[in-house]
Amino acid sequence: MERVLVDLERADGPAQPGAVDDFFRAAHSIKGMAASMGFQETTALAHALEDLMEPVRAGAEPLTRSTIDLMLAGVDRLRELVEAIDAGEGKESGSAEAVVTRIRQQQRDKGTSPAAAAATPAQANGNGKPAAAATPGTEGPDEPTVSVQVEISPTSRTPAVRGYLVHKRLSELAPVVRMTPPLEEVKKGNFDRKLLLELGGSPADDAIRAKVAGIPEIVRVEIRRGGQIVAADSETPVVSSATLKADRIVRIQASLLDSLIDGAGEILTLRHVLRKEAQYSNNARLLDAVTRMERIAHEMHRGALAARLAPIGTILERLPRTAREVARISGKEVEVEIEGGEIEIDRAILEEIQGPLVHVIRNAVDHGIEKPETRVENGKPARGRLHIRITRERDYVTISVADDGRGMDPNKIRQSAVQKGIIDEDRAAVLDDREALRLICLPGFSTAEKLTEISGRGVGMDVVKTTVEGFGGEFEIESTIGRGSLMLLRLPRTIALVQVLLAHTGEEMYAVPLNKILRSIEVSSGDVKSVPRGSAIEVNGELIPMRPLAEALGRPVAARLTDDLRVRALVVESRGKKAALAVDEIAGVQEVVVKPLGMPLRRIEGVAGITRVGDGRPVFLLDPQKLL
Amino acid sequence: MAIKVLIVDDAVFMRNMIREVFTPDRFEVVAEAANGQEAIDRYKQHKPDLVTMDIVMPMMSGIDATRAIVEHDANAKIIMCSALGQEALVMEALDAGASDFIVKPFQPDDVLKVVNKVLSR
Repeated sequence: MERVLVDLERADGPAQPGAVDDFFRAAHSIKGMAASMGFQETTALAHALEDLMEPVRAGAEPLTRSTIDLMLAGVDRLRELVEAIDAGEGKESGSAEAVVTRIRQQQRDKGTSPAAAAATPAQANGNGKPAAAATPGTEGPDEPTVSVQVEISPTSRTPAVRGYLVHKRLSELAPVVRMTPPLEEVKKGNFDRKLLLELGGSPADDAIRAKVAGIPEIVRVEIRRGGQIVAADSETPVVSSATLKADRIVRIQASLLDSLIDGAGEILTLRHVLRKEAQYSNNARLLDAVTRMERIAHEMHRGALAARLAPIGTILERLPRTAREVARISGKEVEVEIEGGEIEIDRAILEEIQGPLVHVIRNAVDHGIEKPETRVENGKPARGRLHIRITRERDYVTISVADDGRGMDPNKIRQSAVQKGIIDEDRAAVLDDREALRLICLPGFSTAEKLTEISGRGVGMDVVKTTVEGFGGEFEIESTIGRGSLMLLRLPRTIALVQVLLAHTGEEMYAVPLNKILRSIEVSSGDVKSVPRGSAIEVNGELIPMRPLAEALGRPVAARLTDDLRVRALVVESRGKKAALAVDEIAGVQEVVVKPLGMPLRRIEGVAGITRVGDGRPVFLLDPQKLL
Repeated sequence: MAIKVLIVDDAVFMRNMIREVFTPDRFEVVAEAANGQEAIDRYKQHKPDLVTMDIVMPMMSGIDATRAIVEHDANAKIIMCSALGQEALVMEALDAGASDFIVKPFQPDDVLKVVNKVLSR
């Protein structure tokens, strides 16, 4: 916060929106954390600072020197408070009252206070309506509210919806004056499963507890009035921060950890067999034991996976040097900015992704960034810029690499792909620009007119793509001619268990990730229609092209779709269009551990990885979108 | 008295999987429906204590059916059966009056936990 203020003071002219937002966010999160821990003075001060910045952020007021001075004074007090909490075993000492009073006084003088105070809760409420509409003015930020902290179970697969439901149920009881994080962020899943809701209208503790008790997947609820815990319910033993601190860190051999993860994964796969047996033999005791074993195996698997998390920064350190070296060889200049290196990801993914990432960087400098003189001619700074940004969203981590170079020309890529015989002219013509950009990921493609030693012969981009997809991730390219390109590597945070549908076609069994299937429908030959380029089925009045899975995989097709038989159609969506794959039958749904394929199997189009099913058989994991 | 359940899903195999969860010791599956309109009809006919509702179905979606059922009976207890990636649809369903949700694929245990919470309200 201090750094932002000093920067703002130094900069002449209007306040930089980004910096103002940074300050605002920092104040907001300190306020949220302090409130959840019951530090009232810290909460009040952070809140006052937030309100002071609000009109500046909204563009209603310029940032004056006197406001900056007041903010700096506030930040000083805030630091003292936080240091006192640190040193004094979690007790707030010292007083922020004077500075809060000065801030509030200045707002009253300017007449901005009510507007700012009303705008913030309404925004936090997220539904566009003023939060405390029933009692305007009485639910101001300084009025006492009941704060309810709710923690969603780490096992919940949809914390966003769960969080949304908590907000919904509690707002049936009392107006939610404020929620941290705001509802919009919760709906997107951008939170750590902890919610802090401030309720107006003084609902009774028991009423709040009863409401929360009716919601599944909540592991802890804590109700505070005036900073004091008045009620707390917890499904799991409460771990105090003191115990957490005492938890010792030990070093463990990576291979040992790997074998623990593999072991837990295998147990999870095996339990499908046990469960089936228990169900067939109608053995309730066995079934009960399997259910408990499942829970323990899940815990073990999760725990071991969490132990394998490592900050992405560890593989990023060398990237700026790599970029500069490539730049030097090719007579260019480049600066590299890295953001979010502290975000953690499974070490197994980290190791595999290092090579591809280096390739993306080399490629960006070699093909993207222009020579200094060209850049200056085009009105750009002589030195190119590479921005590597890591963000986390729920169980996914995105690595984005943006350059401000020449960008890629979809038309040039189309032509080049046709010349190289990668695709024919008809197909090139129907590709939209986004699809055309994806052509650079095909084996043997290179956009450079001359092949260079640095990026090689376009080997690489295809490996980047297949590696990312092998982990169940996504690789995306965006580009604007003259402005630069953006490569997005979206990766799961851990080698997760994937829910798959097991489908038979002929003698073989394949696994298809459940989240890639829109629906599965039973079709008989009568439902199959002949269309110019093959077969199709009608679903809800919509004609969906369908082809047998075996055919898509280049396997012999036992029977044609028009023969008299019943098949299952797996409807998937690919680039906005629906299509169906026909399989003989569905064997069920399982949770499996997926492993990426090694070379050369990795090159098989449509096969994303390999897994073992309950009986130990290896089964290919398909990427249905690739098969259509 | 057994808790009366209506299972709504267009996929037979999903309906069967859900049926297995509702063991006869506590539950009675009084009807099944394969689309939204059928769900409304069966609901009015059987007045079940609990409905499990698929979201994406032909003819009428689970969200529209939920809206219609809740309009007919404000105390209807409807649990949406969703899949990962359908978060926005589930939120819409909750706004339409659904009580809670489960995420496919599920373990019988997970479903029963949600069912118990919903019935306890």
